[in-house]
Amino acid sequence: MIFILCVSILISVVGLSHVLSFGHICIRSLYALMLVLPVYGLFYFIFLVLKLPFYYFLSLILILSILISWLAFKKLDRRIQMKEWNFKRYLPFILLVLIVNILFFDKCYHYGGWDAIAIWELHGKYLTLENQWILLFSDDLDWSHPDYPLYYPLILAFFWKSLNEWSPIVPMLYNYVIFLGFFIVFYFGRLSFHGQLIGLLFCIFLGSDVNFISIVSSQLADSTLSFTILLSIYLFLEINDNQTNAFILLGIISSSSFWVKNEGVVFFLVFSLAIVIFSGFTKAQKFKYFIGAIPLLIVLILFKISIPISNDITSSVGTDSFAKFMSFDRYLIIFKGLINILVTKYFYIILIVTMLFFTKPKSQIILVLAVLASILVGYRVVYLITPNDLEWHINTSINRLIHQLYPSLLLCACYTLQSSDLSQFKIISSNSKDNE
Amino acid sequence: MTKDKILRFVSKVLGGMFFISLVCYNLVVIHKVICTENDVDEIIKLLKPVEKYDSVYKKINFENLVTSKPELFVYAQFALAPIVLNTKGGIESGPLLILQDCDSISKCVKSQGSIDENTNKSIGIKYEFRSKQFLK
Repeated sequence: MIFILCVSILISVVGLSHVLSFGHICIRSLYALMLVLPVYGLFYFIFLVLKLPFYYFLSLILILSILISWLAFKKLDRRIQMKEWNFKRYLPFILLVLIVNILFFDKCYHYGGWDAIAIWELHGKYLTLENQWILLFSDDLDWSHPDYPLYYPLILAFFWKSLNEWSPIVPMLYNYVIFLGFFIVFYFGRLSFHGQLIGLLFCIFLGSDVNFISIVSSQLADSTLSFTILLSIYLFLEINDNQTNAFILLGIISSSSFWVKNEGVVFFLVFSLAIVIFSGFTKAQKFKYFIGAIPLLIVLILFKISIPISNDITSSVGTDSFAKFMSFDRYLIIFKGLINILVTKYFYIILIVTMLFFTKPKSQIILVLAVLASILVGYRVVYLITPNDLEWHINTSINRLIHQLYPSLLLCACYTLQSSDLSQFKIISSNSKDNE
Repeated sequence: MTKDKILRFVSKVLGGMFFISLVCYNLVVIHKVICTENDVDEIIKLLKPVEKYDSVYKKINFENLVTSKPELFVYAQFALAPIVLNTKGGIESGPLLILQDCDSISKCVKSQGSIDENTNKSIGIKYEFRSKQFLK
């Protein structure tokens, strides 16, 4: 069964990557993958709720993958010629991947960190059980956070179900793909030589960041969220008026962030607000963005309504929230926590922010930076009203919260460094696409 | 052969050797991480026999465990799912499984027994984890 599943996913990704109409084939494949996995996860969930056999689900995705590849074949008006693939161009990336592979797998271990087992993999295991999956929302499960969305657990579940065992290899490989995805965005994100050189520099930054590798190898959903935020921002920066389907894709990818983790809601709200007010998109483009976002928005609303579990943060909002809000000491603790984490684990951020002060980023980059800063402020508000011990809450989560925004901040720095050739990019992009 | 050609040949050979050694080292690291079992795998194996009792017992009392080593609880909770572990003292039938001396784990002392389905008591299965450093 795992063979059918993998082949279906592969065919769908290859097909979709040819339907999409922007960027390098590796980038398009990443977007296709991040589109296929949550959608198939949702289909799996629907089949689970309807108590339909697993092979029905497999048959559906096989049919879907054939349909997608047929669509792609219809659209494909040129054959991929291997002669045109310049392997020397990819050699630095292959070498980099081989080195960061070692760093990733050296830090990786079965089932990952505390949250990975207590929350995501536990949810995934329940979702493989046809008759008992509802127990996932039991109050008796400690540290399981049953209100968390099911993007990552559903992906684990359908892979585990097709393997017929709860193999630790599945979360490990999934997170490896996400890990590799970060490097692909930085390296293949810009098609010009100058762009790839700077991209390679940022890949080295990312690959040399032990803290970043540690978090991704811990197999938490934070890396998936970080990746969806990065993909949304990359697409936002690259999108142009000719790419009609890219606006829908942007809506889907940005909305998938809140199906990964609750923090994704903050990102989606701030990002959507920025798109509506400041992006300069036309009404039709904004409409397409929201058309893309609506399906997952409906799924999230249905999930939150039908699962009567309140979030520990939202349920704690009460009479003492205002007093907490006005407490200067809490602001001080949060500020200290932030500075402490930046100095000890995110020194690159200090460098980037310093660099951005001395450069003149494009207006789009400034908008993205404002979005990232607003998300950070949103997280701080959550700290202010948390029902948990503030210091404990900060110590256990701030590293992962910054991790969610860190690659996007690096991307902004990457664009700013090469802003001089931004205007040339779109011409090069369209030319290079023809050469693939 | 000119000096230039020799240098080019040597650099290609060295580069190739570096590349192959990098690939080989990758395979070694990946093999190691796949094959290295850790405490979670150990506890999954230890608790596997309990799964068959899930139709009788939906809850297991782990209150001893939770006070001293929460990691062990989380691993056990994952290993035993869909059996819900109860740390809130809500079990009526007496503890099915007690993990003692929870700062450490060495061996699983398992005594087989049968479950009295009428009274839901006298479990006859007891796991004790002793004396080995559990996590590092």
